[in-house]
Amino acid sequence: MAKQSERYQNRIELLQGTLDMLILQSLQWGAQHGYGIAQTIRLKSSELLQVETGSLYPALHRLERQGWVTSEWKLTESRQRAKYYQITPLGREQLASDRARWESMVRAIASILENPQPEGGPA
Amino acid sequence: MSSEKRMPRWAWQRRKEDLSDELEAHLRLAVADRVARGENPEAARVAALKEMGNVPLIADVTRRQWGWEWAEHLWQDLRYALRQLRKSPGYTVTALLTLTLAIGANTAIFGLMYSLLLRSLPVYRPDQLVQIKLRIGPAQSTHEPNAMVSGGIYDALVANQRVFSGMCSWAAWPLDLHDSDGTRRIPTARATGGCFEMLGVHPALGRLFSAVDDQPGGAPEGYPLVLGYDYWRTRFGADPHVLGRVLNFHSGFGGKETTGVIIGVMEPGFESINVGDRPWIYAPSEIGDKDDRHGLQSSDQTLLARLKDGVAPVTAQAQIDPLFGAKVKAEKYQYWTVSNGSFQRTSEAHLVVVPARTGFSFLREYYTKPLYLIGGMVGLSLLVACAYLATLAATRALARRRELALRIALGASRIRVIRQLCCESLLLALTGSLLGVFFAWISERALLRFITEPGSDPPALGTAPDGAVMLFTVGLLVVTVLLAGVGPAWRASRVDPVSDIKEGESSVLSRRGSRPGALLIPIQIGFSLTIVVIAALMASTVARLLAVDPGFRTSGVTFFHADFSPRSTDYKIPAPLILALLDRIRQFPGVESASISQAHHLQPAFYLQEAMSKTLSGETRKDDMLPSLSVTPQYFATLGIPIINGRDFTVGDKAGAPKVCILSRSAAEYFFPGQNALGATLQLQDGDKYKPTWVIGVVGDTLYSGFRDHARRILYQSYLSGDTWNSGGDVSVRATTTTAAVDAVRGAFHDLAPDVALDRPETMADLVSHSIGRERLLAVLSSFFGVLTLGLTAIGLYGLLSYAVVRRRPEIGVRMALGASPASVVRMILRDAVLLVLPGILLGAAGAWASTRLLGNLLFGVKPLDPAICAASVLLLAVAVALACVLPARRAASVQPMDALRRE
Repeated sequence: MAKQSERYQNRIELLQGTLDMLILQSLQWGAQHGYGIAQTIRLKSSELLQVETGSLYPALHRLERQGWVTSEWKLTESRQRAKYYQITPLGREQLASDRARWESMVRAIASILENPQPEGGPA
Repeated sequence: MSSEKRMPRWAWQRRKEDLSDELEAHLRLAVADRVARGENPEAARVAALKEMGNVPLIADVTRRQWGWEWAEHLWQDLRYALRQLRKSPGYTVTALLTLTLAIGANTAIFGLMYSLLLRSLPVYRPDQLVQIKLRIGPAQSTHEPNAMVSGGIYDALVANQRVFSGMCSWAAWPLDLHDSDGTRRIPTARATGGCFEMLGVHPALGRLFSAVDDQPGGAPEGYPLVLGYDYWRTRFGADPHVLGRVLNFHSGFGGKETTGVIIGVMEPGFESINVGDRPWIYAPSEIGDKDDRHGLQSSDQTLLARLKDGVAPVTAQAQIDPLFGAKVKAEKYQYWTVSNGSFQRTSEAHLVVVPARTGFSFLREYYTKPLYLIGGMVGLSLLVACAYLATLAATRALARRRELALRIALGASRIRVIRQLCCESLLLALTGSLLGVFFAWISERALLRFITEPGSDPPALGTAPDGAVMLFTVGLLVVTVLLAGVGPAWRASRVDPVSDIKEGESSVLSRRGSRPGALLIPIQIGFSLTIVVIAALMASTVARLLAVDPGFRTSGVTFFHADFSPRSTDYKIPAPLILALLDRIRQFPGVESASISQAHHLQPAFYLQEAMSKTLSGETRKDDMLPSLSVTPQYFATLGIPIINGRDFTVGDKAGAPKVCILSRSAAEYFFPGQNALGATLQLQDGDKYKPTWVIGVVGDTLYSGFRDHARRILYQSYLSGDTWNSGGDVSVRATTTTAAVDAVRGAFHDLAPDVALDRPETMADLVSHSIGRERLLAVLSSFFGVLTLGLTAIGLYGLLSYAVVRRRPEIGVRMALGASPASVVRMILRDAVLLVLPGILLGAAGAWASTRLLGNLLFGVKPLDPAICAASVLLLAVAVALACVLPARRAASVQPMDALRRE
């Protein structure tokens, strides 16, 4: 039991930060339930990114505890009950800073990858 | 599953259900999505479930994000512990009972110790308070200074001292309050005007008196009086309109009829600077006799002061001592002092300033040592109880080894297993503490009854639950859990999953298992032996004290103290009143005899007389400190003291008649050796000269101040001749029942002297038990805890040996198969027991040696290490140990070799 839960936690660890950012980003366009968020991320990434349910809900509850999202039970378009998450102003700030950090990291990594020849290194 | 219909639940439970709803909704949405995309509903559901994964696990991991995991685990552990405890009710009940007694007794004793010895006075900045004591004789003498000083000392200091920001002189002396049903003595604190301001206490109602209120004669309407909070509530029904009410009273000893007016009610919480005292009324100091209040001679005041900032007690002493010396010199006052068995006068006396954060109490002198002893004893009992519980817990954990191993194999962490095991002891200790606090609350009242003076209320000690006491109990709880829970759990959690699961029960039987409590048993035995020795010594002390023949009868007599101040002039009470009262008392049914005396037997206080005689050989015999009792006719009959020779006093032995006296046998033999004392002349000191007094009788020797006293030389004088120094009189009545005596005395005083205040009755039995109160307290408590610890130790030993027998069953089987006799197997088990018991006895001997040093002068008729007592204690221990060995030894002897080997 302990080993299995560790496996889940390792995945969370891997996606930590990025997953939080992706969830917050997908809530930018309005309140959404957990399943919807997973679908949004899947579709927007052209089905490249699959969010595991075992990572999604701990992340949502963590975000809620941080005060970055709030939740409420609502009916979906197909008249089903579902818990909808909504981003808070604090969440938006967090998203902005996450994004800035992400972009600078992407730039840093990209500049390394685009300059394969280090300065003064052997040819 | 509509949540609207659900009953309201715990928020936690609701949140858990909310989460599972959410996950369910996720699943439904996923299935609906797949169906919408054209999948078959059955297949869609299977695929969605597969995609989602392990739902309960997801819920678990998600819940962890809430940060309440520990609480959830704690709740699980508690439920698990409860189940375990329910499964073994015998263990649970024994453990709870043990803990209740141990924690309760510790809390009760600590509560008493705390309120008597440790607690700060409930006043402003008690750390600044000092007490001023009086040392008669040279400044560097090592005598304990007198705590009681005279009002004259306060006067000498209050105007000229520069080291105190305030001073307070305080005397506890009752007022005789006249009300509709006679006159009653009301416990009163007589305080100088600045007391309350200096202490920083406040009124609950009205105001407290101040320096301007403390004037001779008081205000026009009477002396300002402040009611004690409890007195106001119980006697005045907490009436808010009590202010301004006028009370009529006599101010007692040397005082006068006067009135007082209620100006306020004291705040709850503050009683007195004398710890344990509970005055009903606070009165200004000038309410009493002028000489008494301002003179140097009567030492009835407790003197407290508040040090100015930065002044040390030594500095204060150096400043005030000369002021006092000047007053003694100016008044040419001389103190009496006893040196080398005779009285001497000295003008040398000094003031001593000592810290007084905790106030002052007479009780401390008598009970400090017993309380520390009892505290130590109940502390040891708690340790024994913990050791016992630890042994039990360890044995239980060993029996559950397989279960624990399985848990660890399934992934439980060691910490989690320890936590689970500790939960059990935490639960036990917590319940035990709650029950213990209740037990303490009850037993504290019983303890207070032991130290209550006959005829008065129990001291106002430790009755209210207190923060410090609660903290102490929580501390005990923590210690208990640590000793009886964490230690054994730590050891028990050291299991090796593989071998333990495989071997299962047989691992319990294997030889490598540790022996729980093998270390604890000797310690338990040592502590038990120590307590048993103390108990035996104290019980023997009490028995020997009770076996002492006091020379008077110890039953059937009731005493009443009456304050005749309103009827007396110059401390002389009119003889006709005395005779009329005695006559009336004797007429009541059930009364056999009655007498009035000044002081009586079994009182700590003496009146002393200097006496001298000339023997036949012409030698002069003198006694400076001859205890003297003034008694009316029938005193000897009432107390049951035999008249050996001559006659009792008669009504004819009155003022103006020839002066006569009666001597105790030792006094007669001392003053008149080898001759008949009857008709001889004893010279009694009266001022500067000696007065001849005829001896008319000789009575049997008696003790006087208590059962530790020796038979004394005692002088009896005639009460009716007016040889009295005090307006108080002690009525003694021998009657068939105490009720008859009480009715007779109350009735007679009600008819003939309603203005005379009567104290509550004290029976001879009360006086006897009070005079050995400390010893009895120690004897009862040490016996109780001796039996308790011995019982726990024996049960613990029994458990350990039984366990050893079970463990060694295969070995015993092999031995027997190889030809060992049952007797040799029994010897083997007994050898094990002796190896545990012997170090325990050595430890106990050391403990007894150390603790009996402390008993010292509490003992009577036995030496601290009395060989017979020590031998008896060890014997008792041996019997308990033997009882603990019998069953395991028999079980070992009855092992069937084939059986045991087959199981191997």
